[in-house]
Amino acid sequence: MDKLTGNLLDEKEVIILDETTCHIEQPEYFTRLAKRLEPTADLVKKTLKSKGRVVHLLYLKSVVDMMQLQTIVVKPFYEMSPEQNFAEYIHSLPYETKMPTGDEEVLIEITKGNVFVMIDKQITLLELKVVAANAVQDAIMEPTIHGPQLGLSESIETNINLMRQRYHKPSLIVEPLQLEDASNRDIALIYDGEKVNPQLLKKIKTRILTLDVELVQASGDLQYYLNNKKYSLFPTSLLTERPDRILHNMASGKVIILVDGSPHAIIAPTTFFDFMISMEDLYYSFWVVSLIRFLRYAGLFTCIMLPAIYVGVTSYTPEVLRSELALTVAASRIGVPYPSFIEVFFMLIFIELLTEASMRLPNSISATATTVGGLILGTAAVEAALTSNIMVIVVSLVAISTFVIPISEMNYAVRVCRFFLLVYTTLFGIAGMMLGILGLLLYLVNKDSFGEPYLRMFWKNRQEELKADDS
Amino acid sequence: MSRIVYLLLISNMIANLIASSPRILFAKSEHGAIVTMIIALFFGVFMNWALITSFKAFPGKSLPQILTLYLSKWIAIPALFIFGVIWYVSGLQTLITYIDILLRFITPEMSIYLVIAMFIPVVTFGIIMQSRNILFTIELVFILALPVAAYYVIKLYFTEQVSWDQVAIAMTFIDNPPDYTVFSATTYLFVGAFDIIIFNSLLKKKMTFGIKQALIVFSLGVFMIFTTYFIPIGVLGFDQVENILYPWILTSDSIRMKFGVIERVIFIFLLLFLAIAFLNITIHWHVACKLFQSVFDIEKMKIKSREKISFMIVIVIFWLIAIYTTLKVTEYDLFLYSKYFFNSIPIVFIGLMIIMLVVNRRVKS
Repeated sequence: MDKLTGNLLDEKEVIILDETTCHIEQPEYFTRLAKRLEPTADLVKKTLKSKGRVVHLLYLKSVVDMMQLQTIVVKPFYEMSPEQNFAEYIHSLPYETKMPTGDEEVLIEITKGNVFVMIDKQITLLELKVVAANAVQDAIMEPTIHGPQLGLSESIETNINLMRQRYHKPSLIVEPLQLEDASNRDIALIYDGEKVNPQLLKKIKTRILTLDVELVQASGDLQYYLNNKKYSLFPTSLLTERPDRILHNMASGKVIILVDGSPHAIIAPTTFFDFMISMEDLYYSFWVVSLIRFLRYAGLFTCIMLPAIYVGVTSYTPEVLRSELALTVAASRIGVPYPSFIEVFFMLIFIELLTEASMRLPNSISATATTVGGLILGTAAVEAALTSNIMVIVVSLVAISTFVIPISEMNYAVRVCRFFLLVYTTLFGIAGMMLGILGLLLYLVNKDSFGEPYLRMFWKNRQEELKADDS
Repeated sequence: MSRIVYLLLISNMIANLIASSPRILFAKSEHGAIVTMIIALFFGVFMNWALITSFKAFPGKSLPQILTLYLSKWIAIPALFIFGVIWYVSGLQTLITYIDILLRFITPEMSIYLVIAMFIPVVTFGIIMQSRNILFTIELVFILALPVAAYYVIKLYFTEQVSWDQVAIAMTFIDNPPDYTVFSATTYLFVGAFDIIIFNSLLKKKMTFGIKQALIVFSLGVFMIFTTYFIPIGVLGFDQVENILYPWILTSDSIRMKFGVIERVIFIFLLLFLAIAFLNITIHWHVACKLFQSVFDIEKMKIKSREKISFMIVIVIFWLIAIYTTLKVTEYDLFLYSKYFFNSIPIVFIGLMIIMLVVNRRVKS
């Protein structure tokens, strides 16, 4: 089939060539490149000829802006008088891109939307690409009341433009990288050259360039590959869609990684506390922010510890609670036929299912799912004595406080942690819970993100402290 | 002094609050405890001064590094081995005490094997961490625990149960002659800073120990000794306190939070102390681990991941000894051995100081 269409196309091309370019032979290099791209339907190879000048054009019409090509290349070519130098004109165009070495690279450039122009023996690439998805999108994952309402777009150029528009400093550096994967996707590192740590930059660059992956689709999977550890639970780089978060982090010397076609940027390196910041914290007054921060950390501790506390208190040491409360808890568990840890596991998995379902469903149905799941099933489960009243309160509190964490990746990590802690408490009781939390703390402290410690307190001068550690 | 040295000092002081040292003090309350404590207080400050000053000339170097540089192998290796044993035992003492407390007060129906199993993964993970990360953990735990601890201490001092008359009775025994066991037990409160024999490799800044630092250590000591000794006497009564196994736990159980979700303070106290005890075990064993590693001179071995393997061997030995002793040691033994251990501390300290003196001399000449 392929062969057939290929042949057909060839014939067509030949006919067209015969009509427009009578007797002019195409240069060998040009035909070689064209051969490599065939037999795709959107390939265009053209030879313009006027007043003794010959220009060969090669491009993919699906990615090239036709109107621009017409006004910038074709029209001047026919309007220019013979004594004017068309080659000089083409070289003076601002659309000219750097000429790569090697056939393969040139072909990649053509597939990106560059127009290959050949005048006599001179070759030029003109960047006349047209991008369909360059509209800036609303911030969906991290909405704020104050602050910018729009996030990034899916085009890397637009995103770089967004950065430049908000950060007017000559030290803002955009560094393009080319991934060696199936898609040859454009990747750009953006950083403030004055503030970034050169060692860190080198580390990130080598990590990206040595990636051995088949296909990178978006920032999300690039972030996963960058992580370098297969079984790492906590994210070591941050995925965001907010330009203000990007700039906030860039100004403190971090590196931003943009992937073409993805409306998210990767910020590296990150510490645990970066995940607990909402951009809104920057726009409110001190006391409001303090309250919100306190709530957020309280939510973090609640959603990690509360199920474990429930198991530890009901199954191991009920005397921890004041006696009235202990009696209430015990009374609410009357009729529940199994030990507390099964109850907790059961309810936690139920709530995870509910969360997952309401996320995947279309907006109009997800409300129904939550109502049916949360209200009706919750009440019914209590009435059927499958679970206790207090357990329903615990589980809803846990679910709510999980969503207080502003970055969703941390959100997921915390949800997993909760189960670990629950298992440890189930095995060892309330003392096990305390040790489990300490273990979690140890794990986080021991982690690093591109060489930066993940969880630590900085009291004095941060740089000074970091320097003292190198040993 | 770096803030980390203070944290090490404080964590050791607090960990000892629940261990055997209060009991030793109360046993001698009519036989010179108070005078000895005052002497030990000054000695403790002196100890810290001597330690920091002797390490002043070696910023960024740990004790094994210093000793291999300036002393002959025949002195350095036995000395490091003895220090390793001492550090291991001090961690072990905290571990056994805490396991005993857990079995008595929090999870009485749990088997001892399960309680030991609870500690093994977390403590092991703590020991094999990098030194600097252990220091950060201490800092974090302190930040998290500080509000609760402060509340607890304030509550203790202002609760109505404290009978200051009983404290006054205890004070009247000030004219008894001093006692060595009390002296060593009190001295042990001040040895926390000695962990810098390993952690000094991370403290690259030159440390000073002037009047200000001495005053801080002194006031910390006064506060800790006063709290350790007089508050249980005030709560439990001077005559009874010497008969109680864990005076501090009973003291905390006598306080109630009228409006709290958790009514009995003992549970907050025990969980808080679990965190501190855990830190204490981790720090001490990490130091011991590093000391043993330097003794066996593992760096000469030509195996690829020698550090990991040697760490593993040391840790397995640590745990085997720990499990064996935890199962064997009874209440009475623990008290007795702790006493012997405390008694050896001043001697070890003097030994360390002599070595450091020699090393300092050699550096100067």
